[in-house]
Amino acid sequence: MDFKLVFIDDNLSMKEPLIQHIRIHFDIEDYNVFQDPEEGLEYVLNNLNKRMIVFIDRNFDGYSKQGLNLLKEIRNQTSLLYIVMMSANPLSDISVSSQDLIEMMNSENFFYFDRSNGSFEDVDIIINSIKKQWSVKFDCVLEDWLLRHPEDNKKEAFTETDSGKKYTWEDILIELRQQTAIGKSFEKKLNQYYIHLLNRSKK
Amino acid sequence: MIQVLIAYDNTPSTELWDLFQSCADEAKQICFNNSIHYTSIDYPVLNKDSITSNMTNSQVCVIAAHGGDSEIYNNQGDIVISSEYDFNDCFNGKGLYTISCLCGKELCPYFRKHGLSFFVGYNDTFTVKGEPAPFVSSAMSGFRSILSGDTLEVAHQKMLDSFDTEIGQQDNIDPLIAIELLHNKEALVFEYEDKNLTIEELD
Repeated sequence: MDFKLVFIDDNLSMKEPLIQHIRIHFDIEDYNVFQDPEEGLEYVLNNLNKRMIVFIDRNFDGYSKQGLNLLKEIRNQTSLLYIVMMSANPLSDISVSSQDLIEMMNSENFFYFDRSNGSFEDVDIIINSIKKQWSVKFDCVLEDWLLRHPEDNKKEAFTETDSGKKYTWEDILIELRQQTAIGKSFEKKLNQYYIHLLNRSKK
Repeated sequence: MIQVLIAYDNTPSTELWDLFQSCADEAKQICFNNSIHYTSIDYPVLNKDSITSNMTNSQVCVIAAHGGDSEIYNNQGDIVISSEYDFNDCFNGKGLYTISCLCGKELCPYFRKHGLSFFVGYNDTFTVKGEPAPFVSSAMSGFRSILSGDTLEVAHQKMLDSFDTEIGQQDNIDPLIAIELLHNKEALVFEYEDKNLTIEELD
């Protein structure tokens, strides 16, 4: 299962043992490290149609944008992307406002990795948990299908009622990943249809 | 004597005007087949005032036009029916049969609270793909049943059966059409106070 790995952390470099461990352990070729939160955010938002895990530092010294700001801006675009918030200091030493804490806890597809206490094993558990969730998510199942059946990429999947605009399966994958109204509506309709078909065969 | 008001948006610039026209044509045919007198309102007089004045003498209003949660509007975006306006009880004891998106959400409970005997509509988008025939047939099947003298309970069941028939046919021809028909069926709101009521008993 291929995926992109993105680190946005002002204290991390490509050679960081944590990054090298994840890269080797999960056999990842496509990984990027951004020390500037704005650059990292821009990269993530431009690649929302890809399967991706984003590690974000909670605190950026000297930058106006902090980890929570990035989380919010990404969540404005999609709730599907997996985000792992990291801290270099123990969680007990961090002063987090209760509002920030609530926002993080209520965020979808969100994990927290305490780099000061966490081991490589801990981060492996997080990534494996994400991979397990990916295996059943509709967008990921569709992505896998299209990789195995490239002939289906350009086939029509959906026509917008009002405009008559046609969407291929490839287009639908982007709509799903970006959590647009079209993507959400299509996923709902298709799930209804599976249930209908399975029940129809039992009549 | 029973009289039906058929109101629809057939403005050429309106998206789906052909669907609305087809539904209105079907409604007129059903009235004709059952020897029931009807009045029709279309572009450019589809507005709140024409509905109010014509409902004085009608027992059922069929309306095919774009809708929102709490209103149905014309091609100018002007309100035709809304929970915001006072319709002077002109729907009291009568029926409202809509082919409009979303108005099952708020318009239906509002009018039912104000004495409407039955409401047919959708609590989500009403979608169409390809030829309108199966969509028109299923959407108008409840009206066909009501005007033939069936009770509301029977008409409701016949409408669900009609959707199932159309979906079943499309399952083997074009599942993407079946998906949209199923979506409409699942969004159907068919509500009434008295399940044994027939059109002859409407005020």
